[in-house]
Amino acid sequence: MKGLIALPMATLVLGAGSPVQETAVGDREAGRLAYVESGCSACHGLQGQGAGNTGSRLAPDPIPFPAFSAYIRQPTGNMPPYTAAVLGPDALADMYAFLESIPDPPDADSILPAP
Amino acid sequence: MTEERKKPVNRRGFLKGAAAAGAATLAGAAESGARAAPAPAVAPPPMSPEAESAAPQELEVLTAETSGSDFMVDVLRALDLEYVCSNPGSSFRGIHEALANYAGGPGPEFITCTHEESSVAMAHGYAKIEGKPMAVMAHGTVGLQHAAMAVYNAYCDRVPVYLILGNTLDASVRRPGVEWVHSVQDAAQMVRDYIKWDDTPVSLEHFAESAMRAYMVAMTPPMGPVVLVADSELQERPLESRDHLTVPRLTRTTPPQGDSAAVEEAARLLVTAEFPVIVADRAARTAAGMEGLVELAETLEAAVIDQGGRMNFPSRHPLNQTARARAALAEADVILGLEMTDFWGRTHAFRDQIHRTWRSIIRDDARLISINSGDLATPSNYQVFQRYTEVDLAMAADAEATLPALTEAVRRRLDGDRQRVLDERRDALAGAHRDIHERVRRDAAYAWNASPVSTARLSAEIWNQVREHDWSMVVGSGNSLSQWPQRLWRFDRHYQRIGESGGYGVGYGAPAAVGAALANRRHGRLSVNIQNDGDLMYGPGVLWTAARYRIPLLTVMHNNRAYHQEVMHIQRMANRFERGIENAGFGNTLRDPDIDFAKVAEGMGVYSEGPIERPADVAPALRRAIDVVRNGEPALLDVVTQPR
Repeated sequence: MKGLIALPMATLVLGAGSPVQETAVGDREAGRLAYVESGCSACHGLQGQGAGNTGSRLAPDPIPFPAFSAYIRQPTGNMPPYTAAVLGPDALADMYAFLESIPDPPDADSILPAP
Repeated sequence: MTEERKKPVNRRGFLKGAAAAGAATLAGAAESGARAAPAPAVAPPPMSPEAESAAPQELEVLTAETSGSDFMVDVLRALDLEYVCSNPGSSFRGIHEALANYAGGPGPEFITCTHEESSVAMAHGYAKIEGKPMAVMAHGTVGLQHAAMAVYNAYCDRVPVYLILGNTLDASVRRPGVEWVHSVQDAAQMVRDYIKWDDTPVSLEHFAESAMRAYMVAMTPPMGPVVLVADSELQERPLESRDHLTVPRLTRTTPPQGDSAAVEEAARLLVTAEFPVIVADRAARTAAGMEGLVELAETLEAAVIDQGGRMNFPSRHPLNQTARARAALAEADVILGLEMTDFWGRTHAFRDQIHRTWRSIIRDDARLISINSGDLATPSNYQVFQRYTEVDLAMAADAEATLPALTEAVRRRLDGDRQRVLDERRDALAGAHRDIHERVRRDAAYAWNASPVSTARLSAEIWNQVREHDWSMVVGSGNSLSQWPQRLWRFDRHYQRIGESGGYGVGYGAPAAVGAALANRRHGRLSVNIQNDGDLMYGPGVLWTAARYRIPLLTVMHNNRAYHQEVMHIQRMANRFERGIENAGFGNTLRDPDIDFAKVAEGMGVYSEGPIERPADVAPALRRAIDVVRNGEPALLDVVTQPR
């Protein structure tokens, strides 16, 4: 199922001097495919749930799109950089739409034993 | 060819009597002057038609009552070696037969393994549960070549393994063909860089003394594998008398304790610190080690970070700050490292980009204390010692042995005023522990219903099923499973976690789990192995060993259908060079065909289910598998999981 989600407009100027103008609309299903095919799920999980030291949690409630976009292009940590040459702006917006569509998890108390 | 070269050569010693008879025959022939057609010295060549049909001219000594191997088995018994893991090999056939038939008393039980790497890894896992080595027998050449990676793992993990290698030193008695290519001048040379000690005895008395020494060396911290070469002639030569042979009494060393002045200085630094942090890696060798660390931490009310090399500290103890290690270390003014493998790595952040960079993550004024038996035996060639760390007070000593003295020294320095500060610190740490544990529970719920199964869901489902049992997580997949068991489960007994491979040599998990489960069997514990798919493919035959010897072990596959660490590495390279990651799975996935691990296990005689892809199916399958394991058999569930 496709879903179109409006994103905040953002323009960032990164350290390398490349302006990042991101699209305002993303395609959720295309984003899911882009998320997997771009290898994001390899470190962050198929639903962006995160994986310990390998990749932080991305969803639900992803960080604001400008920061999301900026980090992907020029990560300050160990994540490999995804430049526009390997991940275009449309795919990035689609991916963000997918992450925004991921629902909240069940209440931990309903599924896990008491601490 | 001269007549002399045609003479059959007697097997030294074994045919001592026969040689005398042969000499007499030769002498007789010479006296009769029958030089044109000399009679054979003893008999026609073995297995020839003549030998099998004709009556022997002389009676050859072909049997004996006892051999060197019987004595060697008595030596092994004196070492309290319960098991010998081995893939059978002719270079140690003497000891093998003596283990089977020598009637001098109960001997080590022979456990048939299908690969020498499995034999050593089984011994590795066994030793971490039982606290003592298991013996492994292998050919000195091809067997050790198979075993070498597992030996390296045990060395890196500071675990005692007792290797006995078969070899035939005397070239004049080797059987043509196989025995030559299975013989070597210096059998232990291949692994000498990563064992603690080896010897090649040339007499039985020598064997006995070196066997004792090998055990003693292996068990002295830093512990490690040892190699004893058992020459085949020593094994097989008939033993006429034991009058000159004795089995020495085993000497056991006490582990080295830290210098008393250094212990006092460490106590002073820790007591006066505002925020001391204890980081433990391979610190708790026994239950007493964990109890000792709890006592020190509670005396100091200090934060503890468990690196996981051993079960060092209860996971739900309020002072356990492992899940917020970076925050705790950033605050620390004194850091005590116990048996740290990588103190530098723990106190620095490293960035793997084109330009590799690093930075300290601790305060500039933080003082570092180290107690590490590894400092007593630093190797030259293999770089297991990690990056040099600027430590303010370094004790080359065993941490577990030093903890009681250090705790006592700390107690002597505490007074009422200081105790009030400590109490406040304890309350703050307990609050931080509660908060982080709640966050971990919430984090585990993300992707709860996803398929393939999330690693958090898998870990939570296993925990739900095993928590009421006396369980032992013998292998936990570590970072491959995002440390979820370590974060979610309640670990409070020393056998509930035994660390990982040490050398990161893939193929450790399955056999180490079987070895550890073998040790747990006598204690009635439920052994749990969360098994990586790629790791099992190195030596799946160990599942047969588990079935053959009725070793109760629950194996749950973390089947992400890849050598996923390598997928991520290729992805990193591809992105670095802006080539896209379409080929990130090039050569490092286990797809097409997907491996049906349930069928693999079934073929080995192990109860199995799978592949399980729906999260809701995991719990019922676990209940069925645990029933099998509680009845004394191994079971395997193949769960298809997310990558990490």
